[in-house]
Amino acid sequence: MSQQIKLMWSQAFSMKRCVLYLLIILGLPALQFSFIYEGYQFFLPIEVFQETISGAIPMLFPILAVLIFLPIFIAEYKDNYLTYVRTRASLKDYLFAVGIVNALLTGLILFLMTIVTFLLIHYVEPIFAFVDYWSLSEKTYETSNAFSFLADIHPLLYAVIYSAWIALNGALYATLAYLLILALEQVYLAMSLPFVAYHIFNFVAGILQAPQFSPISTVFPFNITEQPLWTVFVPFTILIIVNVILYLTMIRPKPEWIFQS
Amino acid sequence: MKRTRNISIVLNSLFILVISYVAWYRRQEVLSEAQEFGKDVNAWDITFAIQNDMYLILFFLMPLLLFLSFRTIEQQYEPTILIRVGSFRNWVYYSTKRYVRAVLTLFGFVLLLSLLSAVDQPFTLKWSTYSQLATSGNISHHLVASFSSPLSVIFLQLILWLLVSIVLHGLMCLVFLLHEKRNGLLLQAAGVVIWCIISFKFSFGVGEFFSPAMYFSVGAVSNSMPPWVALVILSLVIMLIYLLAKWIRSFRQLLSSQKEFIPYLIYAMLASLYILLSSSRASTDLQTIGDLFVVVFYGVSAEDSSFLQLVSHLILFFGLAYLSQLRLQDQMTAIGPYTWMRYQRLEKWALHVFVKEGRFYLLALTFLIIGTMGVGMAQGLALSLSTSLLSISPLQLLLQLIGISMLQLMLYSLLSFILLWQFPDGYAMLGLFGVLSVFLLPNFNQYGIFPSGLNGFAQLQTFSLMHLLFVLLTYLGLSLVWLYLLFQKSIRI
Repeated sequence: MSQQIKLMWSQAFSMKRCVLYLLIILGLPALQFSFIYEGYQFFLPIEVFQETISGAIPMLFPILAVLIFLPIFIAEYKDNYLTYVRTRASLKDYLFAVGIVNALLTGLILFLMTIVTFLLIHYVEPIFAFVDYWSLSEKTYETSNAFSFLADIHPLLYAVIYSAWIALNGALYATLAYLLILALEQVYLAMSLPFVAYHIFNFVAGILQAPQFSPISTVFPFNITEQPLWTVFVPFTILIIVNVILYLTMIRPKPEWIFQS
Repeated sequence: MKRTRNISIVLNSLFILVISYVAWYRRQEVLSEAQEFGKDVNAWDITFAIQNDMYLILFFLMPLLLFLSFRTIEQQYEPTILIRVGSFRNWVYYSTKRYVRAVLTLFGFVLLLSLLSAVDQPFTLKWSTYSQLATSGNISHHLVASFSSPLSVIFLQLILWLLVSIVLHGLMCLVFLLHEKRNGLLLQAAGVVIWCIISFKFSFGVGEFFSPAMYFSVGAVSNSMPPWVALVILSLVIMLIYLLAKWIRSFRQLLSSQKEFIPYLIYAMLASLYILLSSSRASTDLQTIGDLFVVVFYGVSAEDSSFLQLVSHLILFFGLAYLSQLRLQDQMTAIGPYTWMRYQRLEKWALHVFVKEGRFYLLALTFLIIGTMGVGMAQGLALSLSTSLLSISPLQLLLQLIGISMLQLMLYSLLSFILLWQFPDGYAMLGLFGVLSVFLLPNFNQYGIFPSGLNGFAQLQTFSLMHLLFVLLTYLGLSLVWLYLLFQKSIRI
């Protein structure tokens, strides 16, 4: 099993994939930063970080999560690779290894995207001074969010825990898409459903006037006023439950995949 | 066998213990409140306080009743029993009969313990002076207004217990018959409990009306409707269950054959919900149907946008494009030698596909427009296309609503088609949706040159109709040229 995980992990670092990861880690935040570093009123680097992580990234979040590792698995899946794996290794172990690598790699890339953005804005950007910061005495409104209490302890603690939160959510969306591929056996539908569901729940939370429970505002809580920390765990818990139910009801009972416990 | 008997004894003892504790607790509450206000209590005050305790019903009786329903269905759904009873309707009847027998014992205990708890108080045929006392915890106070005698309450309580048990189990059976899965049955039971708790805790009217827990309590029923109405509702639901059980085979066939309609149904539900809620929220600003069109199909622009407008536009228009994408995928996978023989040229086949998609978009837009008009007319808005929310004429409004929307939607489909042709795996289309949704963001399309979300009325704040028309026609033209070149290069049959 560990051998398979290692093999798959190394497969995920081809030159083409590495360019994609770099684009996600640096390209997207840089694009958003280019739109916001002028014309906005910033008082602290953490506000620049929050604005940089807003916009395109929350909009694309499930797509990013799905595109990090799953295309490699889909290529294998489409080429009937699973049929040939069965003769050489336990299919159960193989699929489990894919699931682990998918979640870990997605989590890692999204973690790096968030923490690198934070480190660059907090420690490197002040050297170049792209952003004109306003004096804190002129601040008339609050920009805190559900995770802000961590920044009060130490900005790095905030960065690490918030990045881990993004990574965890990304891993869950990637796992959902992976389980859907196995369950539905329709690649496009399975890959698009996490994105569709993400925006459907954003929409439903919006029209029911409960944005604090929308997936977008719980993963990126910068577009709403500060909410109690427990609210961010509501869509997160639902996502875990959906994944577990999907596994228990649609994956495990499939006899040909030998998913016996 | 012995182990099962021991478990049964433990569970029964636990049940009696919990009911006895609640009975004792509620009795003490009634007695101390009556003492505090110096009022006389009779046995009915205590009995009804116990029987109508919503916490007991929600957190103890409901889970227990659903567990019994689950167990009855699980044990009785066997091929031998189905063959013996002959039909699904007879099976629902058979299963419900067994369930009612089990729960009546349970309610018998509740009745007995609630009566025994009040045995030291006088049993009279009239309401006590405490019953007239208007305090939040006094359930008898709600009952006094609807019932002249306590005897009619106890009589109604027994009927309600019987009818709601039949309804609850009947519905559980019907839904189970649609999927026949044990885990699904568990989810059903959990869903009912969660629904009852949420609708009780947040006390929203519609939720309570559809919550079975409410109908177990005469107090809760008489609080929200005349008691006879509840009896009529429950009787009608039982009749409905009877009819549905008769047609369950057709429903099962319909459900298994019409799965492809589920996405359309979800879209229709979301769109209806959005139109209804957005029109009711903006009702003070609305005078004409034209105003309502502007509010519902506002979209986003660099000048003016909110999160809700953004996701609404995503759902309304990207939702339609997504449905079209799913259809396109089917069309692409169906292409084969016969398609070639029929159409001779790929361009001809593509034209056929796009005419179909165009018809689909036109139909969907028509439904959206008619739905919005219907909601507006129900709100009493003037049937006029002029609007005071934007400085546009009725003709411009119609052009933006139908013409630009059609062009925008057709462009989404054309781009999807091209990407599907080049990258059949599908994740390129996912990327397309991602890029297009990013272009919806206010910062990303300041000059209105990217073909995304141009059909929202918000765009008319910044750009002229001619600008939007020019951008969309240019992209459509370029895409058609791209497609033509693709068709020249390869034949993917």
